[in-house]
Amino acid sequence: MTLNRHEPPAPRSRRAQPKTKGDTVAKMELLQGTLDGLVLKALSWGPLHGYAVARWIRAASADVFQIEEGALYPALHRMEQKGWVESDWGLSSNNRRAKFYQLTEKGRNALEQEQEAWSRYAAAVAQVFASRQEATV
Amino acid sequence: MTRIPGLRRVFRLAVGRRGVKKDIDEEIRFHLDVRTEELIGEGYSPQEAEDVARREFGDVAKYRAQLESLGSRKVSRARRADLKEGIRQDLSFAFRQLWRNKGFSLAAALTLALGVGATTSMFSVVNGVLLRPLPFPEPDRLVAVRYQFNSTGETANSLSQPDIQDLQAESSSLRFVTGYTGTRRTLTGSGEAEIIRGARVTQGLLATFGATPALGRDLMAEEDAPDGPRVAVLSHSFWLERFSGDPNVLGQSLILSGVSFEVVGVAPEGFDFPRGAQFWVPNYTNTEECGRGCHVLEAVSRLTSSGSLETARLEASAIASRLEEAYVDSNHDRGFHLIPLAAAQVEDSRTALLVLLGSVSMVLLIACANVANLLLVRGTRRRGEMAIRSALGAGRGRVLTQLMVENGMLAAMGGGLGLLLAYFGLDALLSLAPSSLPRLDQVSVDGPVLLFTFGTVSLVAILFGLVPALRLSRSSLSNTMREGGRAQLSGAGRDRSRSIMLMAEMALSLVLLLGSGLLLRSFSRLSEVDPGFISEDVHRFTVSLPNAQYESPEEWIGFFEALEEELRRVPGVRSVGSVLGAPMGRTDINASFEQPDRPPPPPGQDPSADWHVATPGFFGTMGIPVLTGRSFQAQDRLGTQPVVVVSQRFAERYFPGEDPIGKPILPRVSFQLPEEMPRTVIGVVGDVRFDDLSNEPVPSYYVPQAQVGADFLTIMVRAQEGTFTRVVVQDILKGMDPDLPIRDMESMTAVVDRTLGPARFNLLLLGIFSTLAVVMAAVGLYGVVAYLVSQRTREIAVRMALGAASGNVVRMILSQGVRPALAGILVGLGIAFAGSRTLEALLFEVEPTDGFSYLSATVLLLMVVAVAAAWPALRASRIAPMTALNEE
Repeated sequence: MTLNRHEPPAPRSRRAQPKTKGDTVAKMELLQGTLDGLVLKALSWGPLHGYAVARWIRAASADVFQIEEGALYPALHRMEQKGWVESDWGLSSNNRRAKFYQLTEKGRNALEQEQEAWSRYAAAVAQVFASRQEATV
Repeated sequence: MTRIPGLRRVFRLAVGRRGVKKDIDEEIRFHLDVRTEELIGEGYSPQEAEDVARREFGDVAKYRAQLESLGSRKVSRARRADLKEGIRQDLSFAFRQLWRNKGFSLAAALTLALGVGATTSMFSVVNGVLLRPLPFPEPDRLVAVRYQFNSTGETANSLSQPDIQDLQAESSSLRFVTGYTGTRRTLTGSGEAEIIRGARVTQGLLATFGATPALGRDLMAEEDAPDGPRVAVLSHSFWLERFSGDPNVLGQSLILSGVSFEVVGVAPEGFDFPRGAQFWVPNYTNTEECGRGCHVLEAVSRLTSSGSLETARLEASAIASRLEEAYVDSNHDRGFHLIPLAAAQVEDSRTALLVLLGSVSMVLLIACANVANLLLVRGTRRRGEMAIRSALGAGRGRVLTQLMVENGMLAAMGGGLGLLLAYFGLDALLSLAPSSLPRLDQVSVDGPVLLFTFGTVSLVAILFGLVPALRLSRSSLSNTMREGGRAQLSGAGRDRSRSIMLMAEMALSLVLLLGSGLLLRSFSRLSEVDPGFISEDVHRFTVSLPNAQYESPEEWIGFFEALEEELRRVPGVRSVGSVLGAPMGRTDINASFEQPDRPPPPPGQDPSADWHVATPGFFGTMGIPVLTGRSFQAQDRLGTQPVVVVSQRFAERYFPGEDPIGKPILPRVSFQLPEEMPRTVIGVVGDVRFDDLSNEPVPSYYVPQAQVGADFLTIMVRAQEGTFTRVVVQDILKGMDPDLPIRDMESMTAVVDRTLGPARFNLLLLGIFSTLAVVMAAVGLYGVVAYLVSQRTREIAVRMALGAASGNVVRMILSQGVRPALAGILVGLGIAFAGSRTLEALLFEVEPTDGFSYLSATVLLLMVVAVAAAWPALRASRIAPMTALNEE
């Protein structure tokens, strides 16, 4: 995980406008609007505290994305206010007080939509890149 | 890991902004700590580990700020939701509470409804009559112009036309100064002859009021000349009724008292000045005949857009001084007096209305005090409930809010009922109102009134609800619990607030009772006043001869003599007489005169007195005694010696210590016959109150109709009861001239009675208000004493079991309830005495500090107190000790 000064923007999966500013291959910026989906996916296995969410994303993505871990928290809090996740204080595995987040029914639906939207989007982009048709004026 | 999702919301524990911050810090701290520990486990030094963890996390301050702003938004949203939910809960709880105590709620709501209803209807009247602006453009620029006598400060409404003209010409801050006088004309030419009211004006009133004619044009200043064109402007309603709103009405003719006027304009809808005028015609001022000394016109004016009332007053007083110097004879002592027209129109009724509004507010206060007492009593029964609420964590503010919501709901119920009461009561109120009250047609329950009621109800809710709610919300948990839920003798503070309420109720009741006592006494004095004539069995009506058909004074004299003769022949008629300037008929003519046998008085100080024309039968018919000499007889005619009869006061003022009979008087009034001639006093008659009962008779003198020839007389007929009717008069008049309408036919008792109208209105309303007040106060007192008894049943039982005499028990209870009542009566006496001057203007021959009234009001209230308190106290003395103790 390396430093990245880009703050993940607010999740707007439908209206997500892919920006390809940094064209580096090594460190990959997270596309706008995808962080929420990752967080929801992380929580789909069960309640987690914020750090565990960060660790899961890192592991699941094989450390490809450059995310500031701090950016997870505004995303979590925002989703809590949207009713996608619920939070409560509990004890972590090493017996420390930690705030746990849990997916709600609403959150589960949101995750499904995110996934579906992402698949369609990725498929469409892939189709465009694979196209051999010449552009005509 | 223990998790109780949603626990926080279930118990609604406060999540403040500070709590949010703490959570955020802890969450971030946890993240960094765990990561640091992990890194240390991977072999980093603690310092390095910490640095790496922070780098991975990013800008901690930035994210904390983001989280805090998200959090505070969440907190306020939650608070709003809490509040909304709380109000909803409070409302439904309040409703259930009130529903469960239907008796209490109904009693409280009805009490408030009486107070709010009475206050609202009274305010509607005050709003319509006093507060609402006049229905003209820029109404605050309209002023009434009057004279004010520099020496006495008294004012006079009637001005002379030359003075009006000079004021208009010389004042730069008055745009128009328009003279007008009400007039009545016989309308003929379309169906039955009818008398309609209108006004003669020196120039267009519409322009003065800034109104635009609905049709045609306004009257013009040039038309006000003795030979000016016969033109008329119609009122909008008259145009609709008589001409069916015909748009081609302009140029049509209108026959008024036999003279044809050409319609040149129609006033806009709603233009009503002077009140009831249906047409306006030029005054046809003839300054040769009616000059600077002839004060017959009222005047109204409009301030220019740059002029203020102050500058206009200064200018007017400068102009008046110049006129005083230039025309000593007529203008000596006369200054101009400018007041806003709105104030001028209501100056007679203003005090009365404000006093009544003040009184009705007192009734409302008493109602509030009563409901507050009810709440205090009920409060003691709810202390347990409140204690449990606070034990479960409800803060004092929360409990207070809930109680105030209950009170607000109660007030709203009372207010709604009150509004209903006002809506229906207003008609009754208006039907009682004297006709002298202006602008009654503009009284209604409208926007401002509703706003007033809403404000009143809100205030009322606070007034009656706050003290009991504060007390109740302070209920201490431990005390209440220790009492074991038993309602015990309540604390001293509770007693004190109840006593204060009771005291206030009694004080206000006394003030109101005293006020109505004073009005009652004043009214009875007023109705006992001897008007100087006997009104019983006398009818009056007025006939005015149109000069187009009846041209000469001789014809007029002949007509009225014939009419009187016809009337005398009617069976049941005992006597008939006629007069110009009938008693209480509001047509007084004040005329100056000379005394040829005396040295002339200084200029401008001619003696003057009320001037009347009478026929020989007048004095006998009215029962006005002839004190010395004789009254008019048939031989006092044109060509014989000119004679005059004077009133007693006239004789006393102008012939002090001498016999007026045979002395000469030269009236300066030129009526229909031009010759002014010295007249010999032939008799002195009793004084008559010509104006109304409350005004002292003024010196008057009478000249015989047969020597002056008036074309307008009021005929007085004394007849056996029930024999003289309108039909009789109609038949006679039809035989003489079918086009002559009968005007103002009425019995003299009704005429006299009408002058009592305003006084009766005030008395009636204040009487109703004070009755309401006393009943409410008595109920309040009864309630308090009954409550005391119920609270102390056990104690009383013990005392009686131990041998206390029942008299002692009664005395003990009474002293508790009655002491504050007595204190209230004392306070009330003080308030009444201090405010007694307020009533002065409404009283007739009764001092506002009249001892008898104070005494009787006090005694009456004491009796009410005794009955209201003794009833429950006596019940207490009959408590059977064993039963009472066993109940516990």
